Amino acid sequence: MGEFLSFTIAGIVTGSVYSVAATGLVVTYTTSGIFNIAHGGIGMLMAFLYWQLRVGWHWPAPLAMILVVFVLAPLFGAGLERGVIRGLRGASVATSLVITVAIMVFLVGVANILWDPTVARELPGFFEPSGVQLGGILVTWHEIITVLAGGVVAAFLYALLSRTRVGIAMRAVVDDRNLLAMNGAQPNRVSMLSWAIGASLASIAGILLAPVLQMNVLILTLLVVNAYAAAMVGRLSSLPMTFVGGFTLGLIEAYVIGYINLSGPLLGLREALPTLFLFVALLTLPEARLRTARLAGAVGPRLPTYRKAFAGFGVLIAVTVIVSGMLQPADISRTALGLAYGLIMLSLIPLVGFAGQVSLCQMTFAGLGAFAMARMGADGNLIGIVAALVLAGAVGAIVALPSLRLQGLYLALSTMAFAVLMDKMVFSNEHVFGNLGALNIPRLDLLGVSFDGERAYMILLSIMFGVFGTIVIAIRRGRFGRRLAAMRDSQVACATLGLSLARTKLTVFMISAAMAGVAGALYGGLAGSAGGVDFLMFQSLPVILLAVVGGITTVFGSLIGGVLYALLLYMQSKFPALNGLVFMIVGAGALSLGRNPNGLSFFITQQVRRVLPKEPANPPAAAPPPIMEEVSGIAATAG
Amino acid sequence: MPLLQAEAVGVSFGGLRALHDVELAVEPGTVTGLIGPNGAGKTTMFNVISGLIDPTNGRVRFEDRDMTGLEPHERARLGIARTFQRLEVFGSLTARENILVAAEIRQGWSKEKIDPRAIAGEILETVGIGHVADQRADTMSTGLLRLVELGRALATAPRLMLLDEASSGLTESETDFMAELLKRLAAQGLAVLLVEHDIEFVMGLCSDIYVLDFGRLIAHGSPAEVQANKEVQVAYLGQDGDAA
Ligand SMILES: Nc1ncnc2c1ncn2[C@@H]1O[C@H](COP(=O)(O)OP(=O)(O)OP(=O)(O)O)[C@@H](O)[C@H]1O
Ligand SMILES: [Mg+2]
Repeated sequence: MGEFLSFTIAGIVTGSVYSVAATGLVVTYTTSGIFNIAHGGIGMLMAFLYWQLRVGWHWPAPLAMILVVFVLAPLFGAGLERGVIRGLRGASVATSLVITVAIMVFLVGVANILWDPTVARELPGFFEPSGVQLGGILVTWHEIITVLAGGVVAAFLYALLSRTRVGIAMRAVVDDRNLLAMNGAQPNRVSMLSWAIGASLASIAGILLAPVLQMNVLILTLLVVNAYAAAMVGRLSSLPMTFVGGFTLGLIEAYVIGYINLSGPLLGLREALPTLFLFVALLTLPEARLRTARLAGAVGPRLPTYRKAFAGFGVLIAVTVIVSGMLQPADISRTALGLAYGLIMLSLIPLVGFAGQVSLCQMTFAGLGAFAMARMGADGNLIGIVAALVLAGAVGAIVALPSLRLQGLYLALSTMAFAVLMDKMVFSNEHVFGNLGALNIPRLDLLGVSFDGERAYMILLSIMFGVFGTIVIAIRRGRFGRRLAAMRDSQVACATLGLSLARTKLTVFMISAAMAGVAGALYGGLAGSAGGVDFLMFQSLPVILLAVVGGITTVFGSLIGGVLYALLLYMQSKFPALNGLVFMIVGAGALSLGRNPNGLSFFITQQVRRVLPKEPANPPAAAPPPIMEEVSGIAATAG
Repeated sequence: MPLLQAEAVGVSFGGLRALHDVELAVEPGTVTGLIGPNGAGKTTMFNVISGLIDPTNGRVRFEDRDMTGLEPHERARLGIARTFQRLEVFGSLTARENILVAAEIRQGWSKEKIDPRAIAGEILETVGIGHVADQRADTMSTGLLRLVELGRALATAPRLMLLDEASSGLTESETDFMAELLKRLAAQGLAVLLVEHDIEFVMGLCSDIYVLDFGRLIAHGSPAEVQANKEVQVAYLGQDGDAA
């Protein structure tokens, strides 16, 4: 009984933090229409700022708290809304997701630069370790304050949303922005206020949680997954249900930790709970009403012809052959890494570039592929590649299924939660990547041709890039690609033409996962050995962001993205102190280019066109010609 | 027996009653009009029929089959096609591809053996946009895009066509062309339900007209009957006296 009580108290305490974090997410999402993946990242940054004031500069706790929660966090949130989020109005879900992921990655980079991650930090809780006895159990003041904070937040939000003009406006703003504007309210201000409040709530959650967890950048940033799992109970819109979700998750977590012996294969269960919770919540969500879209007006890339594409791949392979002949083996594998990442990025093009869906777990699929290759591809057997394809594709289907009925946002959130689950429960399990945490991954041996040598393997990667590129172009040019483009431009129209959106999304997600699996098998072969730590969720983020920076709709974009990533990693290996800088660059790059679907590849192709004027220019988009007489002529004859 | 029959369809958005027990029937081979002032609930009615929103009460029958609970794509497969007041064109595709992709989608669910490319070619001519077939849709004018949407809907070989604001944004000659085209399609047996703001267009084209106002059906009948109706004149034609 005493045991049960103490677990329950622990659950209520964590539940309070999750609720505070989750309501912050819901308030920003319902009011601005943008889902803030960087929510946990903001909480993390604010917790570190608080640590700096409180521990680093010995400020008294209340002063530091007030400055962070009521000044710095709201200012940061409002500034973010003004500087970045406002520009996303009318952007696709995929674009807004990419941008908020970029913010998160950027913040992680900033924190790693400001606070050296190799130094251990402690954040003391409030009045630690004293507390009060409750039924024979010591409840610390920190825990009591945490629960009180949850109550204050609930009361504050209730009063704000139901009693104040601006709060009522906040509830109305998503429903109809124009209507609101007509009534004299200012959607921009309301949206900015919601981001200020959201950031403030994130900071409270971060500060309360940091003493219990660790002052760890990644762990605190991942709080967003718990938050949105809880918010899903309230369908990302109802605040009371969000509190229910937060407390349920907190209690489940406390009981699981308390009653189940978390060892062996269950070791990571605690961190995996939000994901399992999320999947259950997703299955109970009602079908989303389809939203109508406006005419998609993005300047798409030109449809590549096979001739040009093959010429391009030929050049790539030739360059690889020449360059690899001039490099030292160590440099070869460093350069080849660009091709390997390029391959993984190519797997994103049909999904993100063509279908407008987002996956934040591409490295997880790559990891599954590497695992399959290690287990089934002895001596470079082709069966390993096939196993990688099948395993990643099948797991992809399982990840996608619960959220297929829903909008694209839910799929993206599922993938991120799934990646965390795999990190904590599967990839870290000794039965997967062995008790040393890494497995030897054989290099492909194709029809008796061994690609064991560094140079041979790099050439193989360039050939595989050509193969993958051809597949991507074939998809784009074929009927499936047409269907994906149609679905991206208007889901509603597709549905009313008889298309099953769920099936189409499932298909493209599986293709993308399977491609990532094969790419992962080849990527693993490049290093020769790989383990769970090579395929963490946080490694999926730079991959998708750099794919976007390179250009998410073109094969060339993936090559650019892959090479950029390899360059950044090389820089990082030379100067380990720059660890955070790589994340910052990736985040900043995606922030500046994330809205252009054609990324850098577009600018580069344009420059090349300027240098090679003999290529026929794109025929200018002609103004609608005066054809109506002609049209009515047809009508007249027909009638 | 009517092809489409709406029975006491009601829709609420929160507190707002957008439709109030609306009854409506559409016969094959006719063009039926659905008119009413802004916000009357016309588009909402289309969304109910095509399955984009579920009615709060009432049901919709198609060929005497209750469609309650069917998904939009399942209704499309039964033969219901529509266009959108606020265009939902596939902007990154050409006009031809817009129609082609629709025919390909139909090929995926229909038992008939069809050649999507041939169908796309035919329809481009039928709706009169052959000359801009290979232009990207997001570079085209509203008038042409309405024709693209109509062609795309036709590519599913529907039996009921829902047209939301068929003529808005069209030039005069485009409007005439659209009227001729709809007559021709109806003559081939298609049932057309038409939402329109252009009263002249509706009166000249429809044999049967329904009038909505604030979500209620206030009149139903021939063009002459509807024009003579007092309530309609007050609610709708009154504001637009010269059109009546
Ligand atoms: N998704 C929605 N949520 C809330 N209210 C809605 C929604 N869709 C429509 N409405 C409201 O329902 C009413 C009917 O709208 P509807 O679009 O059906 O009118 P309409 O007759 O098509 O008007 P118009 O001639 O302007 O196109 C309007 O008051 C509108 O504001
Ligand atoms: Mg309408």
